[in-house]
Amino acid sequence: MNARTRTSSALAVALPALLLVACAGGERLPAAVQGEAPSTSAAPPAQTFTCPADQQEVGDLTPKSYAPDGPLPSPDDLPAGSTMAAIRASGTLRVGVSADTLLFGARNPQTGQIEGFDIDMLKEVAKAIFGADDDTVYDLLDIVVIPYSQRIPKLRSGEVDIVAHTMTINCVRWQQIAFTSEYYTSGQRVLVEATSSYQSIDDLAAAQATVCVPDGSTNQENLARDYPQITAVAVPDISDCLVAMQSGAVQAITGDDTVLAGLQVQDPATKVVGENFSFEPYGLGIAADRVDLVKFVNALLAEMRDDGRWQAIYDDWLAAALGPQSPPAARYGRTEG
Amino acid sequence: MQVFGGTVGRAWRAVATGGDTPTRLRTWMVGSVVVAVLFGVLGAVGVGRRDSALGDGDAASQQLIAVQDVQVRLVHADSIARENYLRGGIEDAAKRATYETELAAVSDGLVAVGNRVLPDDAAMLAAVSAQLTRYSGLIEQARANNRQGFPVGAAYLRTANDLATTMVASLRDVQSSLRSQVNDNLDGADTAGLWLHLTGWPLLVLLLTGGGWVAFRFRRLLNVPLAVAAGVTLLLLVIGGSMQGSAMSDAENATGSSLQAADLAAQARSAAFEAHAQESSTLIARGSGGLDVAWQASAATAASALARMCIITGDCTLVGTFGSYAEAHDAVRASDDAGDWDGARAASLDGEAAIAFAAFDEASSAAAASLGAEAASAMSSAADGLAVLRVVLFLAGLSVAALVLVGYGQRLREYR
Repeated sequence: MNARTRTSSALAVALPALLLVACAGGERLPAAVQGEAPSTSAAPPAQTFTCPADQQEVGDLTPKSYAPDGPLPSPDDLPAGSTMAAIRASGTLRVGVSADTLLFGARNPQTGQIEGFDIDMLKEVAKAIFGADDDTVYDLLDIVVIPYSQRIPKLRSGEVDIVAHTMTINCVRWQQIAFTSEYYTSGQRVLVEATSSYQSIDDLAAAQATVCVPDGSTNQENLARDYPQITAVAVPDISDCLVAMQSGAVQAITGDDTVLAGLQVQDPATKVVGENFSFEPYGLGIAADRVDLVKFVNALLAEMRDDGRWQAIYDDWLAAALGPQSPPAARYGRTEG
Repeated sequence: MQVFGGTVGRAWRAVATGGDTPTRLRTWMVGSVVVAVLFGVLGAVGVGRRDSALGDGDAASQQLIAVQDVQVRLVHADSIARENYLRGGIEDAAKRATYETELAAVSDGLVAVGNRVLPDDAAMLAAVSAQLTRYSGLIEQARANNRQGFPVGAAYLRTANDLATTMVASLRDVQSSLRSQVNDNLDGADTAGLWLHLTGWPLLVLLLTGGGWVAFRFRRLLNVPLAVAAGVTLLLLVIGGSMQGSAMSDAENATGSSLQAADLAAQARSAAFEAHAQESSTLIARGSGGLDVAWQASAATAASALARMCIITGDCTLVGTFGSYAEAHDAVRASDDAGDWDGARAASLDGEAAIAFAAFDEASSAAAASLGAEAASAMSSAADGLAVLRVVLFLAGLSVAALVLVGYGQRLREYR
C-alpha cells in the first residue's frame, strides 16, 4: 500500500466517523403530554324500544299506572323488605332532577338549594318515607342534577330512586321504566322573540324554520314526527335552547308550556305563542322493577289531590305563570308482568 | 468553462502521471487555494447557518413559552369564572379581579405572540383572539343571569367553557407547531455544522500531503508557510469544531433540560387549572358525575407532566403538591356523591381542596417562571461566539489560501 492509498484509506475511515459525530442527534422537544382518565366499563349497546300494539292506549290519553295497594302507610310502618324501607334505611332518597327549569327545578343562587314544583313533589315523597318535617326534608334528598337525555338511563342504572324532571308519560318509556300516576298535565308549544311574526308551530313549519328542542325529550319526538319540515336543533338542556335563540342560532324553541313559561320569565323579550299541539302528562319516573314504590307514591299523590297539598304546591310555583288549575285525575289499571 | 475543464484535466493528469515539477507545484497550489477558499467560505456559511438556526430555535422556544403562558392564563381565567359561578350571586371580588387581569393578559399575549410566529400560527392565534371576545361576553351573560337566579346562566357558562376548550385546542396546535420549529431548527443547526468538517479535513490533508511532497522534493525540512497554513487549519478545525459542537450541545442540553421542564411545567399548570375548572362544573351540575371523567383526564395529564418534570429537574415537590390537591378533590367528589353537596361545595370553594389547589398554584407558578427564565437564558446563550467564529473562519480561510500561495510560490520562483 503506497502513501497515496494509505491517505485515501485513512480519509475513507475518518470522514464518515466525523460525519457521524457531527450528525449525532441530540435532545429534542417531545410532543405534549396527554393523560388518560382511568378506563370505565363500556356502555351497553343502545336498545331500541317500541310500544307494543296491545299496549298502545289509543283514545285513552291518560296513561295508566299501578293502583295503590291501600291507604298510604305511615313512615314508621313501611312494609318490611320494600323499596321504601330500603330507602329509609339508606338515609336519603336519591332523586334525579333538573337544576335549570325555572318553576319546576332550578337552583336558587342565594340559598344554593334547588327549588320548584318538581322538588316539592319529591319533598312530599321524602316526608312520606322518612317522616321528616318541612325544615329537615331537603337534607334527606340526595339530589343528582341530570340532563333530559339522562333521565331514563339514571333510573335504569339504579343511580337514582326517582326522577322528577318534567317527564312525559308515554308507552315507549313504559317499556323502560315505570311511572306514577299523572301529577301534572302540560302541552307542547313554542317560544319566539317578542317581535317575531310567528304565531304558531304551523307558521314555523310553513317557513321551514330552525327550532331548538331538548335532546331525548318527547318534544323532540313530536317535532320529528309531526313537523318534519322544521329543522330541529337538539341540545342537552332546555336552557341551552334559550342561549341558542338569544344568539340568533334558532328562530324558536319548542317545549312544554310549563318549561317555556320558565324561559319567558328569564327573558322578557320572548313570548309563548300558539295552542298546545301535544298532550304531555307528567309522571314521576321510577325503575320498572320497583312497582311497590310506584304504588306507594300513587297512594301519596291520591292523598295530596284530596287534602289540598297538590293545590298548595301548584299555587306556590305555577299559578302566577299558568293560571288556576286543578290536579289531574289519577288513572290506574296497569298490572305487573 | 471548457478551457477551465481542460486546464484542470491537464493538471490532474500531471499530478497523476508525475508531470514536471513546476506543473505539479502549480497543481498542488491551485488545488489547495481552491479548497482553502472553500473552507473559509463554506465553513463561515455553515457556522452562520448554525448560528441562525440556533437563533430561530431560540425564538421558537420563547414563542412556545409565551403561547403556553397565554394558555395557562386562559384556563386560569376560565377556572375562576366557573368557581365564581358556583359561589352564586356573591362573587369573590379578588378572584374576579384576577379573572379580569388574566383575560387582559391573554388578549395582549395573543397580539404580541401573533406578531412573531409563522403566518399559519398567527392565523390560528387571530382566530383565538376573536373567540376571546365572544368568550368574555358569554361569561358576562352567565354572570348576569346567575346573579338574578336565572338558570340560563349555567347554559351560558357551559357555552363559554366549550368555547374555552376550543380556544385551548387551537393554542395547543400552535404549541405543537412551535415544538416542531424548535426541533427542525436544531436539526438544521446539526446539519449546518458539517460544512466546516467537509472542507477543513480535506484541506488539512492537502496541506500536509502537499507540504510533505514539497519538503521531500526540495530536500527541505519544512515549508514554513505551508506548515503554518496546516497549523492554522488544524487549529480552526479543533477550536471551531469545538465551539460549534459546544453551541449545539448547549442548545440540545437546554432543550432536553430547562426548556423541556418549562414546557412540562406549563402543560401541568394548564391541565391542573382545567381539572380545577371541571371540579367547579361538576358541582354546578351537582352530582351528575360525568364531568369527573374530564377531571380525571386533566389530572392524569398534569400528574404525567409533573412526573416527567421531576425526572428532568430532580425536584419532585410539585408531584406531592398536586397529589395533595387530587386527594382533596376525591374528598369533594365523595361528599357530593354521598349527598353532601353543600359540604362538597364548601370544600371546593374555601376548604381543603381550595387550600391545596392554591398551594399547587403558587408553587407551580414559581417553578414555571424560574424554568421559563432558565430555558430562555440557556437557549439564547447557546449560540454565543458563533458570529465571531464565522468571521474568523472566513478570514482564516483566505489567510490559509495566501499562505499556500506564498509557500508554493517560494518553490516556483526557483524555476524562473
